[in-house]
Amino acid sequence: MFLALWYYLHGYVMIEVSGFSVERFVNMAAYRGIYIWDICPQGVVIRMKVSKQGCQMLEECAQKTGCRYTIIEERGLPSAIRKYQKRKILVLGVLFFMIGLYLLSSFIWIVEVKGNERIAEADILLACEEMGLKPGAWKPRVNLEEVTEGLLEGFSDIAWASVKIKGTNVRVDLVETIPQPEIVDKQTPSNVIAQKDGMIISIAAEAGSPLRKAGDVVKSGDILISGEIKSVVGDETEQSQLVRARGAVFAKVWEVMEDELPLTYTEKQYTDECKKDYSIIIKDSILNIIKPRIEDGLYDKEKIYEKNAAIGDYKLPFALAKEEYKKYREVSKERTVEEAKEELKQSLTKRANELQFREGRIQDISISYEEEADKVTARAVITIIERIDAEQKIDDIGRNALDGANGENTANGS
Amino acid sequence: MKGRGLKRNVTDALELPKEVLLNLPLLSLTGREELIIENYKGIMEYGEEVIRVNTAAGVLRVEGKCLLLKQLTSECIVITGGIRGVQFQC
Repeated sequence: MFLALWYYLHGYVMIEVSGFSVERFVNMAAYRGIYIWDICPQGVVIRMKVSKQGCQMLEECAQKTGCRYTIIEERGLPSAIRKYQKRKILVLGVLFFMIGLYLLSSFIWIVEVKGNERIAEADILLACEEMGLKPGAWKPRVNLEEVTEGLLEGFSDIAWASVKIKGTNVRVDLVETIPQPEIVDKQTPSNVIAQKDGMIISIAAEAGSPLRKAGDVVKSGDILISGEIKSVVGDETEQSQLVRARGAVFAKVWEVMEDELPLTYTEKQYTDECKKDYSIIIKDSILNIIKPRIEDGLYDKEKIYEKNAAIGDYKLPFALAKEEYKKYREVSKERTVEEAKEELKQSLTKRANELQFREGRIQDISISYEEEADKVTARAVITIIERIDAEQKIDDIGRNALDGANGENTANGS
Repeated sequence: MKGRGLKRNVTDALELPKEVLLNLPLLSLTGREELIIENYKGIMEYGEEVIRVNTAAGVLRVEGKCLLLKQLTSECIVITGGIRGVQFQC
């Protein structure tokens, strides 16, 4: 193996030997220390490989054994070099390719961030970019230790960071700190007010004095739990203390939804006719060379796919998009009142279930229908039980207003 | 012959490598693909099916299919191909 490599580097000769006793010729050559390998018979002649120095001694062997040999080909590195000396452009191309590969691989192409949960990836990438770590940066210019330290300093939520270059990719590994507990501010005085109109089902005050009780009907903005605690000391002395009122208030809230459906309607009926349209998207502009001929008629446009060209993980700013134009006819149809009601019920229920509410649930949906000449109108009343409490700060300026509101509330209640 | 006997006795007693002291051939066969013969004397016949090699222990006949002399130096021969049989002839 190594001997073969050695002779490849020094060059070797392929010869063809013919004669009465080739064995004797080979024996003699081997005895004289000539290295011969890959001996294979080719019909009458035998082909073998001999080192270049050995080739000069073969003459004597051939004479003594009465064999004849002819050199077919010179092989090995020296002859290869001689061959490629004539092909300068090829050598130049190989050299150019290698230099190009080296240059391109000495830049950073992709920066990826792993392990971030609360911190946005874009923020980390931006911070890295400010420190010189970005796609397109020259590798020796990037100081990884500096970037690591900069990340630790810049983000207090990062407990550990490691920045590693792997080929042309940079991997930023992070470990975030344990999130700090939310500090509940118990000092700033505040009230709990109603967010929505409704009927209170339950009121549970954690701090502060509740002004309303279950069964009361409240409007949006009414104070439910006051931050002012009045304590009666003795007979008439009133002392008030301001606290941050907290509590959970559940109330019945009604929501009204309306919908209508005409009895006659048009429906799209697709025909088999379908036209394809391909376009090339370069960055943000669309290059549409061949557009399908859209004659009079109704068409629906539908995007079938959009493919981005990419080299490995690196996305190129080109994309191929395919769109289809489907031809349709408009057909007018009619539906019965019962069908319309059913459809309205389904759509209203679906809309009701999509409503967002806090810790609540839908208690009841009641729908009433109204039939007209050519349409059906539906009105749904949705009963929801949900939390309606919200916080409102009491500042010193607003205190007087609060007192006034308090008075009004008590008047309402009585 | 007496000298040779003495040599053999000595190498047997001291467990010395025989191929060195007695000039015997050393064959290493790898599967049925490669045969390395060290300490040979010369090639007697060479063909694709049969190769005969002269050694101190007698003529060694290697039979097989598509036999190829991979390497040939003054110390060893490397034969590759589908070896079917290795036999000493008297």
